[in-house]
Amino acid sequence: MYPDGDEEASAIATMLAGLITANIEQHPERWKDFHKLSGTSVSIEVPDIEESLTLTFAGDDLVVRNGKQGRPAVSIKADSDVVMALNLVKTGPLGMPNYFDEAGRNVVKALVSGKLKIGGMWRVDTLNRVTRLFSVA
Amino acid sequence: MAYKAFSDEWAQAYKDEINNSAVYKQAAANWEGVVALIVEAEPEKNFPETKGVWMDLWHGEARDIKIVDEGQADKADFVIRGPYSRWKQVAQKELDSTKAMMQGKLKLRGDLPTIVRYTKASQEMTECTTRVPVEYPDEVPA
Repeated sequence: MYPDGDEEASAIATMLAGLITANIEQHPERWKDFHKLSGTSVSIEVPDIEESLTLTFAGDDLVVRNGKQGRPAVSIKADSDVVMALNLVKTGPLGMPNYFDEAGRNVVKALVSGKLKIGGMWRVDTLNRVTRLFSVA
Repeated sequence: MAYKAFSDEWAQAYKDEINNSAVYKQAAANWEGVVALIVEAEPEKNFPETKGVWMDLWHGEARDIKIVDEGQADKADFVIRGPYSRWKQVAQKELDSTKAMMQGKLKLRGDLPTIVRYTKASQEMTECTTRVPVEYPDEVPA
């Protein structure tokens, strides 16, 4: 994980990157998703804490930049409680996120109510890989 | 009766509140590990000495909650650190602890996925603190 230049990564950037790192250490099979995302950027905007960040997957590395940078393949905008809820989505059969249990339904509700906005949702494969990397469930 | 903030008596009352919470019992049913809160000194707020709140939590039960020194607190599996006034904000529900960690207002050390998995339990623990009557040192008349 690298901050951008001399700028120090924000607390949320450090936290989310740390979460992915710890998830991969605990589930080495998720390296496959990590590597498949190489060259892909994901931005996360969290309005209630006025923070945003961009994660760029680069081989074995994850580059973290503060703010929305470049043209991310997937962009997520949600308040901090919804971002945390996203981490609780379980992986179901065939590696698909499970949107039918309580954690999954909470995310669907957030999407329907507009509390969660995802740009690039049509990139289903990328979105599923990102979801698996964030999932702590 | 109000308890002095972060005193032994407060810790005992906090433990009782947690053990009376059905919500906590369910949300932390599989939790194992010690969490320590480090409350950093703020002499200007009449809180002159850094204290640790040692919380031995096991499968939905608070087995022990006690006040320890900073060195002891630092040995816990999970350590959350912040200045006294931030913890006061959390206890008074002016600041959400998860949000505070995302903003860097509170610093977390420990396995992140585990902490995230138990967000609901952590929220209920905050609820429990609000049910313990507290006398804050910066609110005590001189």
